[in-house]
Amino acid sequence: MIYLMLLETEDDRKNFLEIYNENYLKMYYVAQGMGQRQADAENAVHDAFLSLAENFTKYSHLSCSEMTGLCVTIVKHKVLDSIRRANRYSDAELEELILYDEVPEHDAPGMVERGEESVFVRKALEGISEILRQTLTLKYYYELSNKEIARIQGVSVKTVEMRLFRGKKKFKEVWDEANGRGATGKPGN
Amino acid sequence: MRRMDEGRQESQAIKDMVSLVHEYELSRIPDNHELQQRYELSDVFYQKMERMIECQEKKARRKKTTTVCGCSSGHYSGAFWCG
Repeated sequence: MIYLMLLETEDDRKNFLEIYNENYLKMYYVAQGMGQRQADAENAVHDAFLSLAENFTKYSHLSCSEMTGLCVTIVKHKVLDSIRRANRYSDAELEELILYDEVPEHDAPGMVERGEESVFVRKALEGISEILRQTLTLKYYYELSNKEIARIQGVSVKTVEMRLFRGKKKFKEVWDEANGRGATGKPGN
Repeated sequence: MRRMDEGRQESQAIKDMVSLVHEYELSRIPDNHELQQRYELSDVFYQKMERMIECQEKKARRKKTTTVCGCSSGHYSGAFWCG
């Protein structure tokens, strides 16, 4: 396995292999869910693991479920990069791209009971582009630096900063909308 | 000081919102057992992986031949780095 050659220690290689076996199908599922054909989805998974292997020591502290989430987030970025290249999208066009699958049967159990939160989640998935959501996920959930995010996304740090700025603005707008607040942030407007 | 507090509160609020969405997305992914039944990754994928490994091994052998004498620490630890 080529990724193992990028890792220094035997422990790292063993851990990486476990991560690979645990997550490659999930990553493939996610890539296909973003509209990728089989070959493109496989390429995205491969690119994601290369990216992971290159920076493995930085992520090795993550728990099993956190690592799954990171793998999924990275593969989403690789798919978006592939889409951008295939369609020759500009950064601005990519920031408008929403790929959320609205099929209700895919709703996770327990969402119905969560009331306002589920309204917000659905509005966020429908209204905030994939690239902005994933950028904020890498920054605020996985606590990566802007430089590390730029490396994963293959863009400049400046682009990451702009995406974070725009993403935060969008999240706040969607949150206010989901909670019945207007542009001023006050309830009932 | 007040601005720092507001900044921290904003960061936490964003983190909470992002977490809600991200964890929901992750919860929609089926488990491995279901995925294994659903998919059979193409033979081409695995062949491609094997070809890439062979290619990297050849590169490593070529590099070992040309760089092992030039390595200052005298330590060769793998295909991609030295020392």
